[in-house]
Amino acid sequence: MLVSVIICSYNPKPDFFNQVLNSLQAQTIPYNQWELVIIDNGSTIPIEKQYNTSWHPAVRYVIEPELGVSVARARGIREAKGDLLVMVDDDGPLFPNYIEEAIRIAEKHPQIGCFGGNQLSITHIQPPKQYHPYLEMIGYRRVNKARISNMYRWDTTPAGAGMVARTAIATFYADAVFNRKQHAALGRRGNSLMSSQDIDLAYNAIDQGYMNGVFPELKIYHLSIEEHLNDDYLIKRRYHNVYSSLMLNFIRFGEKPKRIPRSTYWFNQLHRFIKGERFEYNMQKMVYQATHKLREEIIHGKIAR
Amino acid sequence: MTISVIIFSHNPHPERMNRVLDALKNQELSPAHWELIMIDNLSDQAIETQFDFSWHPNVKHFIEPNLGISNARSRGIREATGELLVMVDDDAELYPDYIRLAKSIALEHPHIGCFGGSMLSATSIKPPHKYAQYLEMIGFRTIHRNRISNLYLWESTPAGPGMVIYAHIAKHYADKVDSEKQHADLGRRGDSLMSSEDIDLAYHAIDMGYYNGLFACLKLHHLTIEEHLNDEYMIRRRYYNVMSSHMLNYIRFNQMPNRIPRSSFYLTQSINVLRRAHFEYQMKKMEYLATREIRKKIYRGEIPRVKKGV
Repeated sequence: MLVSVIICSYNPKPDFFNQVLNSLQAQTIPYNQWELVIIDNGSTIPIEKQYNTSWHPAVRYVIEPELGVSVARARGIREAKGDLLVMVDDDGPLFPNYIEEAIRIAEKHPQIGCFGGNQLSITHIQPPKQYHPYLEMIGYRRVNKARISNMYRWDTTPAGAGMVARTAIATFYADAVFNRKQHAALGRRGNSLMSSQDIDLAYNAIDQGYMNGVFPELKIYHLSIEEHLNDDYLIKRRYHNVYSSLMLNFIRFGEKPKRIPRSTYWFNQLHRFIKGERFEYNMQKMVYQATHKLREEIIHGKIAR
Repeated sequence: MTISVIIFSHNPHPERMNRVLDALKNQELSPAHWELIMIDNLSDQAIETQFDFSWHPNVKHFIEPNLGISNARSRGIREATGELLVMVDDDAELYPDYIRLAKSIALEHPHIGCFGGSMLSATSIKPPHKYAQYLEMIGFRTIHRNRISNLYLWESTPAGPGMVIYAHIAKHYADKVDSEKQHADLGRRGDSLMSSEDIDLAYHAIDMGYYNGLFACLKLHHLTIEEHLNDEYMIRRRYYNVMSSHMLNYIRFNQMPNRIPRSSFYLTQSINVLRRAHFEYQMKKMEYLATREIRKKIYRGEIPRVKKGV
């Protein structure tokens, strides 16, 4: 089984990107069993000139001028020649046995189309308790037990970083991105933190009759966790997170987001305010605002299904 | 693959029981290919003499003297000799292709340990909108698309009526019920409407490394739906439903049910009163009371947890 490792990046942090490349160099399977495709999403200094990848015999650089994770990834999928694709983020170095385990899982579970695993902090940071419900949102995820399903739900959906997909499924997704603009709109672009495009790709596997899964034996580091573990970022991210997941539900399943009743919202907010729970207050505010905004856009017909 | 069909019943409703048996008689997979295990859970009039079983070449009758669904089910599981078990409730009328499809699903998906399908109303009743979110609670469930997972999750868990399960998984469960009393507590007994024991059984398949699944092609008529579609029953059932699902979560996963904050409870309730939403008011009340009751029981140490592992 030939594997294609795809990295999409736009002006990567040199320190992070070097760690990612080092983790690939240290993989336990020989280089001739996998190729490396690097999609440069229009970086100011071309990635090819900046980093040394001469250790790998089959590395390809592709420049994708249109900015956006969805488009870059779709381009990578089209360029890849392998049977199995491993999506690597520019801040997500793999554990040394990652590709080996991915092949083993793909062979053992032919019914699984798309899978992933743990996303860990490299400094073993202990996040404060109030952040716990939101850790997966910023890409800090622990998987203790294999979870597999053919349902459209987050529990069993792999995240974008380290996602492994069968080429047939990913190609289908790439075609959808190029043909329909909504799918691309889910992806992150520039400063906006929209990010349901990974989920959309994984859901494609289910559309095609496969299952999704997350496995404890697959592990990557996510290097931006520490930087993102603060109130400001989490609150900002929460807004886009709610917005894009509701948008995904609308585009895919025609589910209109439920209105949050103003009475209970203000009651709960008052409660939080009195208790001095500033973080929860702001998080809830983001949920309310994002839901409200998306509902307005849907009602005004700005989002096509 | 050998198949055992298990029925257990306590004082069955004659008309319904006849329909259940007729449905079995009319199965496309002829009775020569499966055995029928009839567990009589101490009915006043013996089921064996009350109904006609002469159409089946291989029927075995047993009387289980200990009342309770869990006991009856365990007995049936023990007495069955087939590799695949089909559990039929005394109010579950199978579609004629049920057993045939169950067999082919089992052959096609060997990794699925326990599965089921839709439970429909025989009269195609249209339930009022306010009942919509509680229909699965009374065994009215429509599956549009196959759902398979290894998660402990109701969405992919088959219900008791029409459940298909491998015999070795079910036998493992029966042993566990014997050795650990808590599992038996989840089952319905007499008038109480506690009913998480079928979920517990299906979860055993996941414990043992299998999947659970629901298939759109498997269908049965649940004959008690019409009778149960009324405020009074739904409200009463809601109490036990909340209670037993919290109990299951506590016993299995050590999850303490979340306290429902009194302030928001009363706020919702006063809104319900103003809206004159009597049904919603009662349902919410049942949820509140059941949660409070189970939390009390846990604090008093009345519900011991079971040991982990298979």
